[in-house]
Order: sequence, then structure tokens, then C-alpha cells
Amino acid sequence: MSVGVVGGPHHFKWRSYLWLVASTIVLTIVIAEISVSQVSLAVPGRGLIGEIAAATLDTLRRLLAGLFVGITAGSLLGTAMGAVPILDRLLSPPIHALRQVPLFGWIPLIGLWAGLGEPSKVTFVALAVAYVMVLSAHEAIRSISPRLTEVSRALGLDPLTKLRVLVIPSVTPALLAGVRIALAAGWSAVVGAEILMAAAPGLGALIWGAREVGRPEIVVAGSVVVGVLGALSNAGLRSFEQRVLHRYYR
Amino acid sequence: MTTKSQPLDAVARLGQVATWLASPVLLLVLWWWLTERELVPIQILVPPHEVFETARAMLADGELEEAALASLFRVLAGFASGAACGVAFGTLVAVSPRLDRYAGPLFYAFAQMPAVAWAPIAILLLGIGEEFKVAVIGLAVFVPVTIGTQEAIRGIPQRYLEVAAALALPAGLRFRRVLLPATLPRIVGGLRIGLSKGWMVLVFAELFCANVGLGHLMDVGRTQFQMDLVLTAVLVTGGLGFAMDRMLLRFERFGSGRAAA
Amino acid sequence: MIAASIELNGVNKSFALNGERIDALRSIDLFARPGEFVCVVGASGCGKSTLLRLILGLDHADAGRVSIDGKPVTAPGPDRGIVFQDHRLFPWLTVSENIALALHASDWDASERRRRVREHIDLVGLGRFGDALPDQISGGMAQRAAIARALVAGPKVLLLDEPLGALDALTRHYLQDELLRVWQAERPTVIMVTHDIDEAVYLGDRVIVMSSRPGRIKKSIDIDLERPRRRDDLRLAALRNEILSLFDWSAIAQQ
Ligand SMILES: Nc1ncnc2c1ncn2[C@@H]1O[C@H](COP(=O)(O)OP(=O)(O)OP(=O)(O)O)[C@@H](O)[C@H]1O
Ligand SMILES: [Mg+2]
Repeated sequence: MSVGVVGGPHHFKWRSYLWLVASTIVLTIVIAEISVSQVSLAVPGRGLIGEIAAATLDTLRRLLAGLFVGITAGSLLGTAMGAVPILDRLLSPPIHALRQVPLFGWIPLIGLWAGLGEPSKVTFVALAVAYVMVLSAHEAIRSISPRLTEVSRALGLDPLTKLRVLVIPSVTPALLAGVRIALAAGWSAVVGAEILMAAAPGLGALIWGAREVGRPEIVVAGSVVVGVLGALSNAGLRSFEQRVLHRYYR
Repeated sequence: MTTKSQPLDAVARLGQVATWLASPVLLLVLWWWLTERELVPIQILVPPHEVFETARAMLADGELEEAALASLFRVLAGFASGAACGVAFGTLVAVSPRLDRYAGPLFYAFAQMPAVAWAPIAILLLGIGEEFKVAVIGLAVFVPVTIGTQEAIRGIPQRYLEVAAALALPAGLRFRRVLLPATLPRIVGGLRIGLSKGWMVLVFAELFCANVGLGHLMDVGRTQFQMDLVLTAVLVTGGLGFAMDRMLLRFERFGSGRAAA
Repeated sequence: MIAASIELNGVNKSFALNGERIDALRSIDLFARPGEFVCVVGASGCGKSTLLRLILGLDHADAGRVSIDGKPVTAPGPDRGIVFQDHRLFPWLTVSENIALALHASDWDASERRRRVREHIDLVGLGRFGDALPDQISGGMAQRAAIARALVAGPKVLLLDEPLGALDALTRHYLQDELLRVWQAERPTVIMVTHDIDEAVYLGDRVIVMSSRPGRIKKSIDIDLERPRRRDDLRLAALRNEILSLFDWSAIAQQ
């Protein structure tokens, strides 16, 4: 049941972790060295850690709000489309058309509609997440095998039992995989939104501001934090996913 | 004992087309109606014909073409370099478990970093010109292409390889008739994800630093409150992305030998 | 267990496939007495599975009547058990969980349910594999688990779609005799589709031969032999040859 992502945690051994940490540190130092030597404006950051921690909290709060709204809305819509064929046929064309709009193309539109404030940022993150979840939920519903559906009809299962033995085990893998992709999309969206949508607290804004005032060490440190948090949240979700899937696919 | 029932079939097909078109047409009519009756302020939604007019004017004076070509060039350059590296690296980690063990975790951490988060670092290293945009697009393409290629090669069903061995196929035939068709769908899957990521990052980069390009047009439209301009740029971006995606699909069908055979 | 009668009157069923109409069943009349063991044979694609699906209530006839004990069939019910042609076990449930699922609506208490599941796992010779997942057992074992699932609730009507097709000859003979034993003990009405004519004449009170395109009942042959039967009975061989002669070889070659 492993979905072989290159170097995914499914084959992480302690040696791999060591490697990961070592190579991250080396890479960080190299990048920081190069950028510092290029800009040569490095002033030792005062309160750097505190600044980054505060920004991280802001970003996480925004990300979670967007994930919550986006996952809820996207799953509901995708489930409805998967379950009701007429909805599928009506809504699929516009949704696929909208998907052709590159994600960040929404930022100027949202900016025109609602300004660049906090609600716009969360809306944008939610939109990025919902994009993914609609498709995943749709896929999940359609991955319920018609053959097994017939078996549960033949056995005359009541709705609750049917939910337990047929629906939930069938849709869980696709839904969880969708949530993981949505999480990655959410990270892109939240960092991008913080960079593009005016000054606001958050990691993206911090990094961007540091670049403009010539503080490369903050740029590098902030980017590393984004990368590490992204990797950690993905790995966490993945191990949760595997624990859940293990229940169904021992 | 089968009976053709063509009229029924045609009706069914027509019904399908109708439901397919129903919602876009409805949306367009709704859009037109809302703006015509001025039910929403013009700053929020401009009438469709105004977008059309803007697009025509910009096409006439070459502005749109210039922007589209600039964006297209960046995407193509980034996509070509990212895809080439991705296919090469993906193949390497697929055939060498050892390399996968050592480079895998690093790649994994690298892949977790949202492509847009590379932008500030890339600017520090490469400056704010073309190189940085191409590089960030390339990075965005590289990750999914690597994953797609590795999965494609790892996923070649053992029984196909066994059949190829049993038939003692020469290398060329083995590649053309077994390896390529077996791996191409997933590789192209990775390429398509990469392409859409590439467009996404392009728009992102152009929104904050470019003097020309579709994303730049969107940004101008936003700061000058010209929604028609924003929508024109968005539509062209979507259209170009869609066309390139279709070409990749074509390529897959061609390469798998379905079109040729 | 009081068995039920099965009756089909003038049943038609067709499918649309890529705009073409396929007559799967045409003018089917069939009556199975309560407790009768009916075997159905016929070329591939002649509508045997469709026939079972109609009796089960998964599909509905375009014309005609399908009834059990005189009551029209509208939906599947706990009085009917089926073994599908493919085993169709839930891949995330163990063998015993799959079998227990058929008891969800029964009146038995938990311990009695467990006992029945255990008994039926043993019956199909899967004693050590109750906790295995379908992917961890062979195709023939999965098929046997599906048989246990169909039997465990003690249905009045048992519908079997080539249930022993995936098994080796020895296991097949063993399960044929087990099936007879269960049938004689509980007396359900059995409709069993099979492509093994020897099996049909050995097990059935009656063998129905179907022809294809459209699927019709070509002939119904009574097997008036006393039970228990002997596999080497010469009268069985004669019946088998009679049935074989009914097959339209040219039609099969045409497909
Ligand atoms: N859902 C369906 N849609 C379209 N055609 C169908 C469907 N189900 C069955 N058919 C057609 O009906 C005919 C009878 O099918 P059925 O499955 O009953 O055959 P069968 O006698 O069980 O064959 P086999 O011995 O190969 O299992 C076939 O020609 C098949 O193509
Ligand atoms: Mg069949």
C-alpha cells in the first residue's frame, strides 16, 4: 500500500534521517554563504528567532483556517458530484475550465473583489485547497467498486453497516491522499499569498521583507523553516494515513 | 441478435452535449445579465463584451502578443530544463536503489518546499531578471517529473518484462513495444502536473517582478482597477496552459504507439 | 427451514451496449419446486448470470414476472444467498468478517453467530485462514469463502454462479459432496450455474440447457436417479452425452 514517492518516509531509516539533517544543514550553510557573500550586508539578526516564531504562528493560523474551509467545501462538493451524476455533468465543465486558471491568477481577481486583507488571504488558501479536494472527493466516491456495492445490496446491508464496511474503507485512501496534496497546495498558497498580498505578518512576508532590506540570513532561515514545516506536516499526515490505511489494508 | 437504434443514440448524444454546455452557457448568461442590469458594481465584475473589446484592442496593438510570448518563453525554458533533469534524475533513482537511499531523503525534503518559497532565495542567488524566473519554474517542474518518472519505471509490471524476455525481444523492440508504452502514461502524468505547476509559478513570479508578461498584465490590471485587463490575461493564460496540456496528451498517445500502430 | 419455490414467467431482459441492443434473455419460463436442485448450463454469454441476478433482485426484467413463493421479487432479501461468479469479498475484511457480514440481520445472538461462522469456515476447508485477508489467500480459497458467506445465513434460496469453477478436481469433488450434504440437511432451493456438465448431472434434480443470442431455455432434462449417486454411474455418462449433443457448436465457434 506504499505510494512510492521518491525517498518518502516509507523507507526512512535512522540513517536516512541523519542524512536528511546533515544535508539540510550543509545546504543551508552553502546557500547562506553564497547569498551573504553576494549581498554582503549581513547584520547579525537581533531577535531573529522570536521574529521567525511569531511569523510562523501567523502563517500556521492562516493555513489551518484555509485548510478547514477548503477541505470542508471541496469534499462536500466533490462528494455531491460523485454521488449525483447530473450534478457531475453540470458542474464538471466549469470546474475543469476554472482549473485551467493558474492558482495565482486568482490573486489579482480576489484583490479587486475583496482587497488584500486577511479574509482575502484565507479565501485564497481555501480556494487552493478546495481545488484539490473537489477532485479527490469525486475520485474517492467513484472508487467504490460497483461489484461490492452489489454484494452489499445482495446481503441487504443497512445504511450504517454499508457505511462501515463499504463506503468508508473504499473512500478513505483517495480522501487521505487528497488531503495530503491539498496540504502541499495550501503551503504554496499561504506563502505565495503572504508575498503577493501586501504586508502582513507571516513567514512569506517576513522572507520577502528581509530580501528587500538586504537581510539574506533571514531569507534563508525563513525559507528553511517553510521547507522543514512543509516536510514535517506532510510526513505527519503520511504516517497518520498509513496508520489509518493499515486498519483497512493490513 | 442485435438491433441498431441510431435515432435514440443521437438523441442521447445531443442530450449529453447539452448538459455539458448547459453550465458554461448559463454562467455566461448570468455574467452578462448581472452586469447588464448593474446588479453588481462594475469594479467587481465587468460585462463580458468589455473583456472581449479589451482583448481585441490589445491583440491589435500587439500588447497581448508580446506579453504572451514573454510568458510562453519563460514557461518553455523552465519546463524544458526541469523536465529533462526530472526524467534523468527519476530514472537514476529508479534503477539505483542505492542512490535512492542516499539522495531520496534530501529530494523528499526538497520536494516539500513549496516552489514559490524558492523564489526569494533564487532572487538572492540569481538576481531579479529572467534567470531566476526560469530557475524557479524549472524547480517546480523538476519535482513532479522526477516522482512520475521514478514511479513509472518502478511500476513496470514484472509480467511484461517476463514476456519480453520470453520472446527474446531485441533491445530496440523491447524499448519501443514494452518499456515506452508501459512507462509513458505515468511520465506524462508527471509532466502534466509539472506543466501546471510551472504556469502557476510563472504567474506568481510575474505578478511581483516583471516588466512584461501575462502575470504582469494581471498586476497592472489590479493596481489600476481594470478588471477587463485582469480577466483577459487570466483567460489567455488558461487557454495557453490548456493547449500545452493537450499537446502533452497527444504526445503520450503518439509515443505509446496507439496512434502509429 | 421451509424452502421456497421460484417462478419465472415470460421473462425478457436486454441490455444496451454502445447503442446496440443485446437480448440477454428472451421468453424465459422456469419453475423450481421448493427444495429442488436445478443446474443451468449453456455457452458463455448466454445469460446465465443475468438469470441469477433477476432472481436475486439486483436487476429487473423488461417484461414478465419473477416470483418467489408467489411473491414478486423487487429487491434482494435475506431469504436468498448468492455466490457471484467472481468471489467479491471485501478486501479490507478478513475471511471470517466477510462471512459474518451475511449474518448482520439474523436473529441469532453473538455467540451463535460466531459458532455458525466457525462451522462454515470449517465446512469449506478454510479452518486456518479465518483471520486472513482475501489478498492473502488463493483464488480458489476466496471462492470457497464466498460459498461459506452464501450458506452461513441458511437461505431458503441458494443461487450459485459457477461456484466451483476456480477449484482443482479434488477440492471440487469434495465441495460438491459438501454442497449436497448442506442441501440435504437444510433443503434450500438451489439454482446452480455451471460449465461442468458432469457436475450438473451429478448434483442436479434437473439440468436446464440454454442457447445464446438471444438467451433462451433450450431444454430441461430431469435427472431421475436415486441419491446418493455414484460418479461412475453409466446412466450419468449417457445423460452427459445427451446434453452435449444439444449444444450448438457452430454458434459457439461463431462468437
Ligand atoms: N450490465 C450489462 N451491460 C451490457 N450488457 C450486459 C450486461 N450484463 C450482461 N450483458 C450481456 O448479456 C449477455 C449475457 O450475460 P451473462 O453475464 O448473463 O452471461 P453468462 O451466461 O453468465 O456468461 P458466462 O458463462 O461467460 O459467465 C452477454 O452478452 C453480456 O454481454
Ligand atoms: Mg456468468
